Amino acid sequence: MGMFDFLSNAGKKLFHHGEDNAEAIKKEIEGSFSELPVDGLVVDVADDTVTLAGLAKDIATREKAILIAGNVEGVAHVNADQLVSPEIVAATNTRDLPEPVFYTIQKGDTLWGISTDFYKDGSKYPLIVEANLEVIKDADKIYPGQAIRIPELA
Amino acid sequence: MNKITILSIITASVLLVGCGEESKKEATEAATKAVETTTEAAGNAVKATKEAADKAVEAAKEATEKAVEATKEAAEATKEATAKAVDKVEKAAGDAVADAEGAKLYAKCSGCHGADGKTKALGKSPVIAGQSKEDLVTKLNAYKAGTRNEAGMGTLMKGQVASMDDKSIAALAAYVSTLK
Repeated sequence: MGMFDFLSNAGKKLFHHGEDNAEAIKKEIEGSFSELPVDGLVVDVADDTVTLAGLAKDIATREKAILIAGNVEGVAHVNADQLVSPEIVAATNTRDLPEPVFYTIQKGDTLWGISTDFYKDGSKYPLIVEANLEVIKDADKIYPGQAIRIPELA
Repeated sequence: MNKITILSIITASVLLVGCGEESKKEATEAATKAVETTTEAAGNAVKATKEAADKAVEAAKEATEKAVEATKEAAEATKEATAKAVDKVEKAAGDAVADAEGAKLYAKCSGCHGADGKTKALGKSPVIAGQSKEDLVTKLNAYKAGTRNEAGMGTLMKGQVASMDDKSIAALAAYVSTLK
């Protein structure tokens, strides 16, 4: 991600007064590759700063797109914060880990009853057994005070 | 009617038995009178019967008309129910098509948002799974219009939805809202 600096007085003369410079850079990038380099490419130009956004095919393509935009006369900065590639996505995506759900068996509990309480369906109790194989060694021998885990329904 | 006749005859007979010539004549007259009364009664009865029959016919006619009306109404109701059912089926088919369309559109989103919509894209987007369809449509349209910049990724998202029309956005939003 990040902001990249270039010499604004060097490079290809793409910018023309009163024309859509963003569109010109977009065409320049897309025209430089044999297949679409950036899915959903958006180019914004504000003064000497170009913002690129989209999903580049890969890391190399992303870097080339940044360079193509930067090597335009009049461009001093390329903001590529929103130009990502599958590698960047894979490295930055996160998922909330599910909070563990533990349950302590009470006197009089049955697996069927526990399954009914948590899943509103007693017949799903094998899921609980399955999720506690090493804890509930014998489904017929659960005991009060024994703690088990209640897995999330897939 | 029969009772009257029998009564008349009995009366006449009683009068006839043990009576003289004159009383016989009187009895005959009485009997004749009784027969006349009977005949008249019979006539009245026939008239009454006819009236009753007419009334019955009228009632039957009315009932038939009502039944026809009811049948018509039932047919109308059936027609309506059928139309509704057809609508429902068509809608279900439409929904299924939209679902498939939504799933197809979501394929490119899943890279960042996760196949189940529960990934925080680039570690900073909210979880999109299960958001309401209405909210999602609003947000997607805002991205398209360039007025939304969630987590500083508005331009990236703009590029992703730029080519989607209202129908696609609706289908995609519907699909994401069903993710769990």
